[in-house]
Amino acid sequence: MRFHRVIRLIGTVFKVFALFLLIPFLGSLYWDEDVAPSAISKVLPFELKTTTASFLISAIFIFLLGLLLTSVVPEFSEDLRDREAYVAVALGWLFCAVLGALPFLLTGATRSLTVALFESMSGLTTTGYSALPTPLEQYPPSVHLWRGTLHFFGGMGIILVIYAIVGRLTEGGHKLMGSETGGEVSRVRSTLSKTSKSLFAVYVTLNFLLFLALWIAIRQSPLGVGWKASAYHAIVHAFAAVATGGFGTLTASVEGFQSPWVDGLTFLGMFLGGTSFVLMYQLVAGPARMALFHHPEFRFYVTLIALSSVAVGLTLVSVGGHWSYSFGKGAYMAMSALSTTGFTAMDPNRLPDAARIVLVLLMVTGGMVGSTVGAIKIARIQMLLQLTVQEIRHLLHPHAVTIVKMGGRLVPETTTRRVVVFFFTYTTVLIAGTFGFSFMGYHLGDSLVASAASLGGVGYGWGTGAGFAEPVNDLARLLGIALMWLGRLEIFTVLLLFVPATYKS
Amino acid sequence: MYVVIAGAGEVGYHVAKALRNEGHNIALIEPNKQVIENVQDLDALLVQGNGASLDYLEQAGIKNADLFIGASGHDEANMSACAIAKTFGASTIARINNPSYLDQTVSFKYRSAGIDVAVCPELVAAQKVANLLRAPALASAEIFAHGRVAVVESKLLPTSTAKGRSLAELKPPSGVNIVAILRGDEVLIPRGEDRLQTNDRLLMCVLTPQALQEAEATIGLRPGKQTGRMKRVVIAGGSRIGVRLARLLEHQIDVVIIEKQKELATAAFEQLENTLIITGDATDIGILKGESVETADAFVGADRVEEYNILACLIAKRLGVRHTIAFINQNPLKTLAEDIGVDLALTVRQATVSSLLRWCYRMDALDVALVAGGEAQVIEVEVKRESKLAGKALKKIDFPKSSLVGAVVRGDTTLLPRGDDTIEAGDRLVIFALTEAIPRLEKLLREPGK
Repeated sequence: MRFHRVIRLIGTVFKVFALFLLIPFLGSLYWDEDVAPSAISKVLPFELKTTTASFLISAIFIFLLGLLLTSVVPEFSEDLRDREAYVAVALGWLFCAVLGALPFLLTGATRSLTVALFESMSGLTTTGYSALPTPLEQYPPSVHLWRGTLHFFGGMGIILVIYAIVGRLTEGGHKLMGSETGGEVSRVRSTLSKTSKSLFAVYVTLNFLLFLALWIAIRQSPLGVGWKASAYHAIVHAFAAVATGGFGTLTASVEGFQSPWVDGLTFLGMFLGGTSFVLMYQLVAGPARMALFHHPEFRFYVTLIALSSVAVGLTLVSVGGHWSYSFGKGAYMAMSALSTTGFTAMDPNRLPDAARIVLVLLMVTGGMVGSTVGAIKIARIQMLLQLTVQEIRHLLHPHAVTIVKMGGRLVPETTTRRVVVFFFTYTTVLIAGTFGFSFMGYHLGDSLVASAASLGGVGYGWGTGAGFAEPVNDLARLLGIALMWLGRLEIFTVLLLFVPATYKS
Repeated sequence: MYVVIAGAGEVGYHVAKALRNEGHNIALIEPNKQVIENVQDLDALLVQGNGASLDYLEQAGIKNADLFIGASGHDEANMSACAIAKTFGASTIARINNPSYLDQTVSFKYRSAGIDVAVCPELVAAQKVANLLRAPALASAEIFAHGRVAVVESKLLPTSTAKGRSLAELKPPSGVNIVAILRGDEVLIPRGEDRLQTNDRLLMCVLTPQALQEAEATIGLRPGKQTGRMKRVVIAGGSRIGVRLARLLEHQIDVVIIEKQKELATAAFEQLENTLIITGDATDIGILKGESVETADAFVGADRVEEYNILACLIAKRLGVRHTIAFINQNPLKTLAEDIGVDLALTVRQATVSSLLRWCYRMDALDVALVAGGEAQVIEVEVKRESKLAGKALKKIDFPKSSLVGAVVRGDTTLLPRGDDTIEAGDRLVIFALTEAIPRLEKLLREPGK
């Protein structure tokens, strides 16, 4: 274990992270109207709003910290070791979350350390659970922009963003990328940097298009805001939808807009956010033979959305909901759970128990591999289903070849073993989390959704599991932070930090 | 035509022989000295060397060649040899079996790389068996005109009442046309006065399975197999042919492959979607019983080793499988294998030679099948509008003596022609011909009318 390498890598991460603070900084200049001048304005020749000053100070601080870390450690050129990659990624995410909490404290959005850290971790891991005291409408636009920007930064994965922007980080970058995504490294182009740039380009394009559409839709919605205000609502919701995050600007989430157009557009955003970016890139730039509906994972994804929408819709009909209302809202809640976004188009507390169990299962499943979703992900679920089928075949035909196949290709046994182990570990952590929340006095159903939604990066729930603002206590927030961190890095990357052997050479 | 052929193995040799019989000049390039020794009876230029080498190609006279055939067992060698031959202006045909190069029986996609026609003989063979399994009554048939005409070879039973009688007396049922009598190594084009003998085999154009049954009953032929729909097929051997056959069948019927080698079994599993792959020995009765082979409707021995295929088929037969088909390597073993109980023995080589020959003709044959041990061919051609055949009565056309029009497909109808019938433009003719008659036939078919 060579810690100086880890430190240098984290330093680079900080420098890039600081750049993203410029988004809320610029946003505060444009949108923040009712914000008081900052105390430091007294020593300056011009007036700075509190929020502007907070973001500026945070950006400078984080950048300088990054500069310090990268300059005290000499550059290295040898290959990164596996364990160094894991530790760098696990700590990189944790420290980004810690530093990302800074603006929440400086702007005065909260005074609680755990609330700020929770909000920051929830943003980075694209969970979307909020710990800020409601109503959300009380916060200046720049704070919302920062929450959205955290989603935008964390959505595709920090390492991918850095490769897309910096181009080169270290030899053995695949290991870093793998530590972030549970071993999956997509190679759609010749180098990691080109691959990252292409995928990031798809991501940015989707965000931009969704922003434009939402800008108009929100302007026309019954909320009754002008073009200027509509723009920041649209940016935050576009960031949150494509990154499958879930932060919104309104207390009632997407439902607050009362607009079928906003519902539809965010639904589309979530759907695309849960689709493999590799697949989308290949559709645009790749060989024409990539037939979308022959892609087994995509087919499964679409089928699952359709079936679960109907299931949730039916449960709403069964408790007396109007047909069109039930299926519309049912589909939205299912899409939000499966894509691990966390937008809500209805009050989740009004969901019947039958719908809740379906939604929790969707939260545990998640979207496609290579998308911005959390949770177990569909390709793994497909492998587990196939393993089950193959096991039955093996019982019937002891000599038969029983190997898992995905898209016509054999899956190596090391991969299927990892999937089984991952499933076991994920379930164990899920149950441990449920136990933790129950221990703090939550009802069983509320604990389950709080645990599943934190671990899977979903960010909506019901009862006490609906959010992490007061009166939820600090301990529950810390548990939530831990679950989000574990879930986003697919458990093992974080787990390695706590294994002593990681640090021995 | 001057034809250069790379590879003088079974395939190269028989292609060369067929083309030579038709009067073409042949050069063969073959690296193996022993193989060269074996083909000394051919009236051809023999060059010992690498067929993909420029020097040996020049020695074989590639400069003057009209046609080059890459007929060796190595796909890559055939492909690169064609590419070189193309630079001298020859038309090129390559035998390519690896499915990653080619997934159709024939393809022109490598034309820009110098390969005019890429042929996949193994797929042709697999397709043939798949056709047989779909239409089991027509066992050992060659199928023409999208399944509307079958050419069937059938043996006279020792008890047949037709023995000693002439064809004129026989009057075969409508829907059946006898195009040849195979007697030992002889091929006779039937005249009315020819009398049938014990052990004669008849080659017939057949339009329906019912017509065939009727003919079998009235003439006294060894009956073909009759079954209902095939539901389950077991294939011994996960060779390329076995896998290709499984792929053609797996979406319509249950297919099981039994393969000894783990690597081959895994590879087969990867290429197939809906087939059960068993790792085990297909001649192990325990394995066969464990997979309830007796419930299968057909059993195909598709391994590379012919004795394994034959033995596996015999065991399957004993266990109660009604149809057994074995792939063999040596054509002469066909009768032996069929005599001891295999229902049908096939050589891949025969399919390979046919599929290569099919592309050697410039008369645009739609299909070619080698019959009677390679001595004769059945060809399907379309009569062009400008052909001098169009509008003429059959008996007025000067067909070569050793050829016979077996069936005429016209629009939606198929007829077995008599001398008075006329040929029309657009007709598809199924013609039986001895190989030596092919060049004249080709000339006749290409001649324009006035």
